[in-house]
Amino acid sequence: MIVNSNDPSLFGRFHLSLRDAMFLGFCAALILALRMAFRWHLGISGHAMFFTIPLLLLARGCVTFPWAASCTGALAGCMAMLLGMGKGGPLILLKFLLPALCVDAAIWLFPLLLTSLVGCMAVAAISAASKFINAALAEWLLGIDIAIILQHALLETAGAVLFGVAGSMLVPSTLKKLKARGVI
Amino acid sequence: MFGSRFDEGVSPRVCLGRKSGVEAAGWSLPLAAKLLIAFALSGLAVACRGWLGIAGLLLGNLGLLVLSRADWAILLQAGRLLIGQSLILVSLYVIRFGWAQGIAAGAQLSCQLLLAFLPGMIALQTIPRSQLTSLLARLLPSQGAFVLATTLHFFPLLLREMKTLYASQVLRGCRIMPRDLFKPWCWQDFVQALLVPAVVLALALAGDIALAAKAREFTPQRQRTIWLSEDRQ
Amino acid sequence: MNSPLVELRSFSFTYAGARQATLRDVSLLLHSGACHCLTGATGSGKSTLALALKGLLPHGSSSGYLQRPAAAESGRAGVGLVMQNPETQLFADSIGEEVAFGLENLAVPAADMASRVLAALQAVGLDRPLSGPVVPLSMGEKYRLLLAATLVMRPQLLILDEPAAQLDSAGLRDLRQVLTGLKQAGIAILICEHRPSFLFNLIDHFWRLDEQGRLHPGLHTQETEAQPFVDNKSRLPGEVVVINASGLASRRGMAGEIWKDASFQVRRGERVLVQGSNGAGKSTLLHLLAGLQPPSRGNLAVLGRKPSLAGLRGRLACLLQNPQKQLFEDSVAAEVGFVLRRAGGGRTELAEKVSALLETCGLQHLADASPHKLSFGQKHLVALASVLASGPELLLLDDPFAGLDDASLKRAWALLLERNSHGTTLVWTSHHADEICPCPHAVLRVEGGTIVRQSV
Repeated sequence: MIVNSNDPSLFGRFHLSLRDAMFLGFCAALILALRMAFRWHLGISGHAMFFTIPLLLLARGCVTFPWAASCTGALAGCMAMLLGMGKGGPLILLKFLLPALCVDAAIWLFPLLLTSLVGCMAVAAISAASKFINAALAEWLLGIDIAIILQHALLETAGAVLFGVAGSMLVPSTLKKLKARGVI
Repeated sequence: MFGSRFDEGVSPRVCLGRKSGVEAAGWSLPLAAKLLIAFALSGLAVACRGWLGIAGLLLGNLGLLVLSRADWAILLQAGRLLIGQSLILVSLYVIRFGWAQGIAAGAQLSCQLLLAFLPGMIALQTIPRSQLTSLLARLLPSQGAFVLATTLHFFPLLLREMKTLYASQVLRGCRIMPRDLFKPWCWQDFVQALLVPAVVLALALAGDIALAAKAREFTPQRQRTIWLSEDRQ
Repeated sequence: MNSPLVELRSFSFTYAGARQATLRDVSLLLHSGACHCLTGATGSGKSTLALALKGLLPHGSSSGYLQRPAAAESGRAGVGLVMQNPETQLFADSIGEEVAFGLENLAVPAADMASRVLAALQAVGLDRPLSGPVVPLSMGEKYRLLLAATLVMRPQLLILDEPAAQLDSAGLRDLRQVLTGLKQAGIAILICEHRPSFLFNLIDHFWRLDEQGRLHPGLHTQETEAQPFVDNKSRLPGEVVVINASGLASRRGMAGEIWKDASFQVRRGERVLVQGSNGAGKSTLLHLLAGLQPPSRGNLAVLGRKPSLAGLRGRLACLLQNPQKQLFEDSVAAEVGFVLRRAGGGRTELAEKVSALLETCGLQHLADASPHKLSFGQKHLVALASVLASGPELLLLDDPFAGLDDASLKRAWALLLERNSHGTTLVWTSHHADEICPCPHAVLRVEGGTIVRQSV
């Protein structure tokens, strides 16, 4: 396999090569595909985070670009719009972008978080918790009672955090194996 | 498994080319008008308070549905997507305010929620993909637009490769079938035999595609011209 | 004589992180209108040299002198490169769009594109409407489309990386015709191919890259090509039917049925070759047998049951194209022993079985090595050994040895024949009539929209 690794960089390590950008695109497409394939009719909100968070973490872990997860989230949102998926219309972009921004911010602050299980779970929890903002904002604009907003948003966020953390548990061992193989 | 959406490709050159693709038969609302109306209806749904406003918005959405030549099944789709949320909302209101008041308020807000999201769904589902990609191409940097379209184009290939990998590993004895994944002691197989090779596969495919694009002189920085299809020459 | 288009003088290249150079002191001259063939085992550096000439080498260190054709004017590429796998090089949905992709990247004015696209398609003999879809084209047609998409950029040097790997006899014949025309037009051609017999009459100079990455002039004659494999140790197949197909039909993707009314049987211990042109549906047949997809019509029983992954686990094994994708363990011994560990059994017994298998493959000395760091041929052998370790009753091979050098190929087939002599049924696909493989007991010919079993 001839690997076309990063092109000569103009901006040090903050250059996103075409190959890495394509990989992030694939991660974004996988997020959507898995959400579509595993539409669990459990009535438990947030189960989509089981796939979204680990793929965002993997994207950030495999590509040395500070905004890798955000790019993945943005691409996933654009793809969802293109494919006419889900509720919210154009607002679906925020649904993917907010958790992705949290991932990038967390890794920027604490670069070694992805190397440990606890670190990964912490990042996952924070990113999944960003669902609170999405849920609360829409309902606040609609004029829903504040107490109801808090209860409902917390309920949704709790489900998202549980699923997000559960999905993230496999990420550190995956990244470790990829590093051992010299792939990343 | 993933539906026909991922079987349809998006030509990267359409994305970068700002070319209109196949239009819906007959007249349909222009893109700008559609987006403007959808935005206005969503905003009004958020701001309205009362059943009269909801009734008006419902008529507005039905009008948008008709003018956009959308499939009426989108109403069912929207209802299915929001039913869970609505049930929770109504339940919380009932707990807080009692049965009569709770159901009335919860139902009203559920309708508002539906009417806030419905215009966006109608707009997205009825805008031809080529127009949407052209719009995105204006908003995204050129490499972003190319990556978006190319990824969607090649995603079916990646899925086929992953499916084949999955089958080979299962036949080898790896415990990675859906029923195996409920057992924690099988997770190591999942990571080692499927997840890691799948990531390597995706990276390799991404590398091959990037190399192929560069072999055809693609550079993100260079301004590109547009191929005009036969119907536009 | 014209000044050379390409000049390399003591050119060396080492990939970042690699311990030894992939190309070592390579010196080469290429002139217009000449056709050169670069041969060598897989992994010897042919593709690396192609990338160097195209200016697409990744991170690494290079030394020596390299001069390659630059674009003579805007709207042209100096070097055109067609890589091995067509599937990852087709970006568009329609033929016109695909050919024009390079022109768009070169910022050729839109008004000038149509004539160039039509000329390029004519040069490769692809007579299809510009708005025609790419997907239904045969592999040979797709390869010609890629050639057109490269020639449209008017390169002075055309490089083809392993064209024979994907093309059947008809595709190779068409390619030969196209290349003859290009040579007459004065385009320099470099073909990287480890089995170039289909182009003997066209090639002016042969070169050979050895394992150290050194280039040698080599007159490659047909006699030096490996002879078909002759097996003297097979035993006759048994009477038990392991595959029973009747009235079978199959679709591929959203297309219609690619073949139908297929009825055949395969017996235990048989060696069956599935032959057909590219796109005929050979891989689809193997997918059906492995339970990856259901047939659209008809009845199929594999090892006595309807095929499914869960049902066939441990009894059926498959080795697909680029089988090194399946490798995941940290050592060769662990990779080969994986399926034996799943089956249970004592450590000593397991170690003995693994050791015996590695010895048959000639990989005993690599037991503790990482399978991901082996050569291309060694990876194939490890992948093969790992699926054979459990002693499957039926083994499906979907062109897994594409690109493998002859020595590794012979070793792989020796291993397979050894298993076959113990009762493992072999079913493998090929689109090359002259490929090295042992004599099959029967051929399943996939053509004309059906599958017919022929005895050999």
